[in-house]
Amino acid sequence: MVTRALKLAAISAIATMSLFAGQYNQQAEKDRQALIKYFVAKFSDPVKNAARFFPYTPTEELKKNYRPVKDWHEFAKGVYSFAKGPRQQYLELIEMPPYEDDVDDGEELYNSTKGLKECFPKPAEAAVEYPKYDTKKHEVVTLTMAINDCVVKHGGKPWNPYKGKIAKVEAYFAAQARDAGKVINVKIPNAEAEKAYEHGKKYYFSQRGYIDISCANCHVQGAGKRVRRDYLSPLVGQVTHFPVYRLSWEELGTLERRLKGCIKNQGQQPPKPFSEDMRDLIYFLSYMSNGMKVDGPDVRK
Amino acid sequence: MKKIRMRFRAKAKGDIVKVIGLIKHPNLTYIMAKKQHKEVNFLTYIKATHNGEVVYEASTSQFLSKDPVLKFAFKGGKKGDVVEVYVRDLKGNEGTKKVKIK
Repeated sequence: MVTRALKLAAISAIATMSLFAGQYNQQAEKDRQALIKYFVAKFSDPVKNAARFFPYTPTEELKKNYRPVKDWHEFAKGVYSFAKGPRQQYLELIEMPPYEDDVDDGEELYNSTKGLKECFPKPAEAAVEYPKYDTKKHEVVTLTMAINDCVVKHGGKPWNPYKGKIAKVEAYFAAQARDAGKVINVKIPNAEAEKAYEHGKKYYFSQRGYIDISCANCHVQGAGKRVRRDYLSPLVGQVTHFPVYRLSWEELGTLERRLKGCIKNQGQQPPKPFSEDMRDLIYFLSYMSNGMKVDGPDVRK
Repeated sequence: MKKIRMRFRAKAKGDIVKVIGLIKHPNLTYIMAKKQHKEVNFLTYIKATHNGEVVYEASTSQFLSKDPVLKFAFKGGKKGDVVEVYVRDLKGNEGTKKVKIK
């Protein structure tokens, strides 16, 4: 009886909370749920649903190379959640991860750089706090931007937003958050924030560049298909593992650097790291990964 | 002379001890060094000892990748013992690491 009453109380509490908080994020929440539903339907049984999702992939390849994914939390691993071969390579790689030294360097930088300790008193919180909508500045603030602002404010020169020191500090934050078991929780506090979200969503779903494709063509409809030998990752869970150690870079890089590369491959001019387009895009992407555990830093191909 | 950085882990499972580690080294081959206008440098010798007994020994050359990962196993180790790894490269830089078996 007691447990049932507790359960009821918990459910009603969650319901009321979502009623009050869900004024501005209604559309966003709808989008997220729809995406999760779509991806789970796609990857829960690729062979059975081949006619709907993989019409041009031979059944032998589907049987041989794809692994069914039932739980959407697994998409935090991106491509490695459903592709068998790459998953095996990944599991072998993380036995001795190549980014551990960088995390130690990040801790040193965090302690030695002026001002970082005051701006980010709790490193584990910082990784989950951003990107957030700053109600005073009336714009989206990403973690990279916040760190750079902090360094400049305390009399230093701005750091490179793509790699190097900034990636190492972010790696330290992310590692702390992972150890504490933090969950990504992006909020949409007001109508302006909702506008920023819509702007990011528009960027993601609009066609651009000389090939005339949008981000969604590859990462929603095309997720799971191959581009030569590489598989395309699903949109849900795309920001959980940053900063990332890419094997092709042979070093750590921030989310901005990855997005720049991806947009360039798409055949268009990538936006500047602190421009409105980039920040709103990150805001949108992060909201889509809400409810997933922080998994960074991690290794990707 | 620079010290070579590395990370190692050793785990005992029954009689067998499995060791895995990563050595931080650029491992520039002759061709790569010429392209990047840097000096040639790669690992030439790796040795691991357990209680004074050599359990792994290799003389290596240009075939190693950047930051190579090393894996080996041996019999006769116990929990709490120490495995010592010694590394040397072409320029004479050295590195040693003591790993406790878990």
